Amino acid sequence: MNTDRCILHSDLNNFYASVEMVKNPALREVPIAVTGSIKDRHGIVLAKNMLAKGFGVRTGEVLWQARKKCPALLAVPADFPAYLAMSKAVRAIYARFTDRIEAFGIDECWLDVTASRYLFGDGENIAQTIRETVKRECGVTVSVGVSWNKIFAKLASDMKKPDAVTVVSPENYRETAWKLPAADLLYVGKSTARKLTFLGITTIGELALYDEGALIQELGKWGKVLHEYANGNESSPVREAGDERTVKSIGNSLTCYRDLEEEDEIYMLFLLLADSVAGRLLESGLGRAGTVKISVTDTDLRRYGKQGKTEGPTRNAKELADTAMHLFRTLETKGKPVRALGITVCEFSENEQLDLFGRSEQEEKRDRADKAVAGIREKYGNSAIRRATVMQDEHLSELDIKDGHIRPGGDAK
Amino acid sequence: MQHYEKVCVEVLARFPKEGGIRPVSLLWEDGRQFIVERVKSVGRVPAHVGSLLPIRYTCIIGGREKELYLERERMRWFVEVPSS
Repeated sequence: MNTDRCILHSDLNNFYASVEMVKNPALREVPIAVTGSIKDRHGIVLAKNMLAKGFGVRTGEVLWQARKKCPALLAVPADFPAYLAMSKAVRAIYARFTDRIEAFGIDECWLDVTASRYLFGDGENIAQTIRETVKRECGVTVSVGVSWNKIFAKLASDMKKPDAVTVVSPENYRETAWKLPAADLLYVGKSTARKLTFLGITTIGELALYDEGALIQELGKWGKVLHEYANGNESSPVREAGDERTVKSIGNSLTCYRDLEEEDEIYMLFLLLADSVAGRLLESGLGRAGTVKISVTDTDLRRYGKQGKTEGPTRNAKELADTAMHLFRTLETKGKPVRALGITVCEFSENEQLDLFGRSEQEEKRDRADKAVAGIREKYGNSAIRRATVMQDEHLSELDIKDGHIRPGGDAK
Repeated sequence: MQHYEKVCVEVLARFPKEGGIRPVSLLWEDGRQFIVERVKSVGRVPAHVGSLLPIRYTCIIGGREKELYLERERMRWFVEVPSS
């Protein structure tokens, strides 16, 4: 076990709700839930403040469910530009201490402060300074975990909240990290947690002491990884700030303002999404996509997914939408109306696929048309040119393809 | 707990050649003008009133210490007035 590194994991507490309370301090006195747009039916609790938490309001709940527990719950629509601005300001504080900052979502970061200790004192000191500075300058709080690896640092930041520093050291990890449920370990999802329970493993300590061979037998190579994690043997580097990860997929999803039942309506939404995905694909320079994944949420909030190959690598919106529709037809959705749809594309090939006889004139033409559309949108905005199919529905056709309504859904973190 | 009201004000400012923004004077709602005699400190400090990441200028105005806030994103200045 290499314990030479010093890693912090800093987690902004109740982030969206905290920013809303900075924007409007009166919200500190009432239970609030930050939700997506209610009009467009993203009425899901994205975050809540401590008062709402006291009533048992949970992230991911639908607003009406939350209101059953807390009738006075005030819904505040999400303001993503404000959250981004705050996140950027907090990261600028981290950057005073190290250039090795790896973001994990908008509100969490790992910081490698191994070398910074010569300048700013030990890890706990740096963590305390960061905690105080963020509060003093930005008006929000962080919980910081300190350890020698990313996994334990993340566990530590969850132990004491809000506005706290927790150290998991080689001396105390058996009494701290090992006492936590195995499900708290990063990357242990519901299904892995269930498998671990079958093996009689409930805590991280039990996972760490379990026979590695038996774990591998049960969970495959993932078993080895988790065993290492539980033992604090994690040495992946904290990426340097600005060190972009390779994008493995591009996706968008949309909750429609009304339920969709007819196939042509669903196709219309797929086209709208495919247009946006194709646009982002062209912009990204990743090439063409070989695989399309769709996600479907029905009115009972059941989620379905399916993936399949495109006919050939493509970045054409219509081809993507056609593949998506084909996949949709093969899904068994129990015939319920559709509430939300998503398209994600992956398996990019950078080079143009050369047909034995060269690309057909039709393909060339379509490619030129796609680029022309992208050009028009760049110059005059996303709504300057729209598909006639989509214009059958006034509300849908008003949606700005790239801004706001369509959320990036499938980008690899 | 003391409550405050956010009052947006008109400010004349200077952009020094070394960079940054410095308030020069403040125009109050009733037309009075107050000269900023000195800026004691500048830094990011949350306000008591609703404001996202304002910059606080601790100034000497009329011989007394006053705090002026700048919301950079909206390029707007405000002061906090105690309310009952």
